[in-house]
Amino acid sequence: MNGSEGPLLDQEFLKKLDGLILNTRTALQGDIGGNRKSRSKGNSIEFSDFREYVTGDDFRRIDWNAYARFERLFVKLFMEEREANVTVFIDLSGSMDWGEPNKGKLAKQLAAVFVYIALANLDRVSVAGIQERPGAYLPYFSGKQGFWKALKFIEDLEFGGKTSLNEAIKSYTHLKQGGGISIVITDLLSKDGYEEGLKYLQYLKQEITLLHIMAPQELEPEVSGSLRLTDVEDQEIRDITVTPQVLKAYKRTVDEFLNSLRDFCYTRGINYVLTSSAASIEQVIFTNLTRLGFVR
Amino acid sequence: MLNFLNPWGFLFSLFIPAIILLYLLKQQYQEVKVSSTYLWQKTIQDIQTSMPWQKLRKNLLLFLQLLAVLLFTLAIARPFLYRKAENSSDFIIVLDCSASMQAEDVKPTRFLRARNEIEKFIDGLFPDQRVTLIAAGYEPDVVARRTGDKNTLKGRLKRIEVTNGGGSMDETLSLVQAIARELEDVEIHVYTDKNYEFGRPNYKSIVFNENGDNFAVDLVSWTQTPDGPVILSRIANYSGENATLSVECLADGITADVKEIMVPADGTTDVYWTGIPSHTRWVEIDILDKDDLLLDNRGWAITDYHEDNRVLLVSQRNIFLEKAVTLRKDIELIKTTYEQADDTEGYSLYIFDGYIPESLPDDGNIIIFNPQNDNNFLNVGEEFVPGNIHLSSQTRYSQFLDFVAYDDFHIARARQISVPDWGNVVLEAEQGPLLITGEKGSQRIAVFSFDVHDSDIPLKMDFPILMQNMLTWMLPQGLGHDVKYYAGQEVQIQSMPGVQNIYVTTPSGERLSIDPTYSIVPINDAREVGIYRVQQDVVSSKGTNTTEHYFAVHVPTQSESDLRPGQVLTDTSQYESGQYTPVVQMKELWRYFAWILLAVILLEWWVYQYGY
Repeated sequence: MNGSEGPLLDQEFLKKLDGLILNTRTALQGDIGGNRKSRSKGNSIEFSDFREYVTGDDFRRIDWNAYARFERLFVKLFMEEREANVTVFIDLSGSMDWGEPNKGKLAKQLAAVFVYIALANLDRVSVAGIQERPGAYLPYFSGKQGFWKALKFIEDLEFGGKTSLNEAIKSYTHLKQGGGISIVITDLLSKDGYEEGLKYLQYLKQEITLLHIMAPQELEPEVSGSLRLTDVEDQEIRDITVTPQVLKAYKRTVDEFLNSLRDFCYTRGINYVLTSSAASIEQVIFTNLTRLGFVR
Repeated sequence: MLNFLNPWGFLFSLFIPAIILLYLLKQQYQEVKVSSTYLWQKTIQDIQTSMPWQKLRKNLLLFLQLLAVLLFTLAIARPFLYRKAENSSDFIIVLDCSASMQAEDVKPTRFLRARNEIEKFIDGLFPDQRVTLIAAGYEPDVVARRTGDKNTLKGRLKRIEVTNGGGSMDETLSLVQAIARELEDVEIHVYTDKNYEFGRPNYKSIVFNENGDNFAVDLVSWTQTPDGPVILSRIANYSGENATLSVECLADGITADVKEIMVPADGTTDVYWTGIPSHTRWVEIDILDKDDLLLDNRGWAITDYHEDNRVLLVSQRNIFLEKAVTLRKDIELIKTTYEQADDTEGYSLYIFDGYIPESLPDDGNIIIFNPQNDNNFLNVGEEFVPGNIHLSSQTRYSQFLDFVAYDDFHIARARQISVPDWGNVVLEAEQGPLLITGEKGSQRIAVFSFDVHDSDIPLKMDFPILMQNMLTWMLPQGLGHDVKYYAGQEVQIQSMPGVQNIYVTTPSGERLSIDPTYSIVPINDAREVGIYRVQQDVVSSKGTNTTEHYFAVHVPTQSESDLRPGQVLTDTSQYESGQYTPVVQMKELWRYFAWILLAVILLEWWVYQYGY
């Protein structure tokens, strides 16, 4: 199963998405903090700051009043209403194609939703699969008419292989310079961890939203007895005798894992959303994400 | 010493290497695909760090499983402990079932304890050992013959019951001796309460006796006085200490008197009871104090006073007969002549002397002397002169001539009588029968073929003896005079002429119907002590008349009431049997192993389930 039965999103649902925008906490960051303050580009120009004129600056923006006072050339800085570069990272490893309901399907749906919202906000969007290495890649594009192409691209994504979140993100070369929005959809079951990759994205001035999908079977496994666990990604085998004691310990491990993840994201300013694959896409978008303010 | 009944059971221990092998080959795991073993791996690391001995857990399971197999192997190998290596192949077990075994000085009773001990002994038998089980009850009873089947033996043992009688140890020991003679290697165990000294090494008595205290009603007797019956009771004290006892006298079940009496140690005290109502049918004497054997604390006497027997003598004055008949005090003799003798009834006995009525009465017994040939009853022929008088053969009727010197009789003439089909010739001469007796239905008939006047018999002292012998048979008191029996004795009821039904009611109230076909009816069920009531329904032309009488069944106190072991010397010098071999006691252990096994399996499950 690769989560591609039936249309990922239907028209009905897409209509509901029309009113939504991606909310970002960092309105302006540094001198290049372009952000989408308004939907109508170029209509309102908001003053933001001054900076000394350097060669090459648009001399139209020189503040002559300031020059009169200080005899130095200052350039007015405005909140630039620029299109944002949205990158949707989707974890295409084998572990995503697992669970009942399947994590992969929800991941694809979410990816498509974010692409749609981004396009509706006149942003530029790109979709990148991550596995052990960067996988399938849909280059940046904008314009709603490109959505169907993107949807087709997402639908056709195949899950398989191992995950190495850190490695895949670090070797991803298509990120636009100058920051942007990164949405990472993954189950975070990456044996080499996730911290390095996320830090690297932040280094590249990406505002990260981490959508963490877990299957109910991962959160609360219903197994017992002597088991030979096979990892679907690397086929690693682990023999374990599951007793109620072991199950308790497992849940403890899951809690610890999630807590450390939340802590990490909180301290690094990463938007973090945990969702079960049993949740419907409506629920995730209109309840989980909306409530936390990632979309509005 | 330890040995094994089923050494093949050790084959089961082959499972031990099998389990180890299974562990080496790893457990059979259920294959489960997971998205990632990442979290599981962390979990295992956590468990192992929080429980440092977790690694031992598998080994603990292995250890418990190996222990379980080992215990199971031991259990099915049926280990047993035994003392002394040699053992007999045959045992004869004798269980004393006499009344004294009911004593409660050994708890719960001597008998139950002995039976228990025998059961334990049976449990300890080797498979090739066989047991012959004999109950020394009213008579020796071989309950099980040479079997090693423990279930059979135990089942049969359970069915043995203690008796109220004196037991039959002497006969049993003779039987044991006879059985033992046929066996090679036999040991005889006698479970009893008396000290038997066998004087042979392979005879062993296992004595159940705690020197119980006992008092007994030894004797209850009575005599009729003008003031009513006077009861004599004898109370015996077998306790070794003087005792003051409360003794109660009941007349027909109603308390008549209670007395406090002193009975010396190992002695007896006679107690007289007067003021008993004159028509009392039976009295009971009870010792009210408790002792170790309650069975013999009661005794009975039947004071059932019989009405006189009415006897009709039809003769032309026969003074010899009159005198001989009236010797018995309970006989009311009515004399009549031939002319008035027809259609008579209502007598217990009819004596027809030289005459037979046209129709014989049917409600009493009949003695006929010198029948004439003008009757419908007997075929009477010519006269003859008897010579060489002798008993025709030994039959039960020969008792009429007990203590009678018939060979000295001289008879001038007798008449030939053809013997009827009911008749037996008791006394005869060369020429023909002289005395024919027999039973026609339940009517007893005796026919003398001569006139006593034509002989010298009435002049001899044998005549009253002969007549009394005859009357004893002819005038039954329902029972013989002996109305006191011991438990287990055969009680004989003399059925009355014309009896239709006989019922016996036992002390516990059970009503037995007795076949009245024969004139003497034995009752074998008189094993309960107490008063038995006998009812006889006699049908005559006047209707049905029910007569009742009683008899009492006692414990044989002389042999059973002294509960102390005493010394019973038994002559076993003639006992022959095989070699002496010491007793072997065997104890099987598999049950213990089975219990430990169960505990280990539960523990193993628990460890498996909860991890520690």
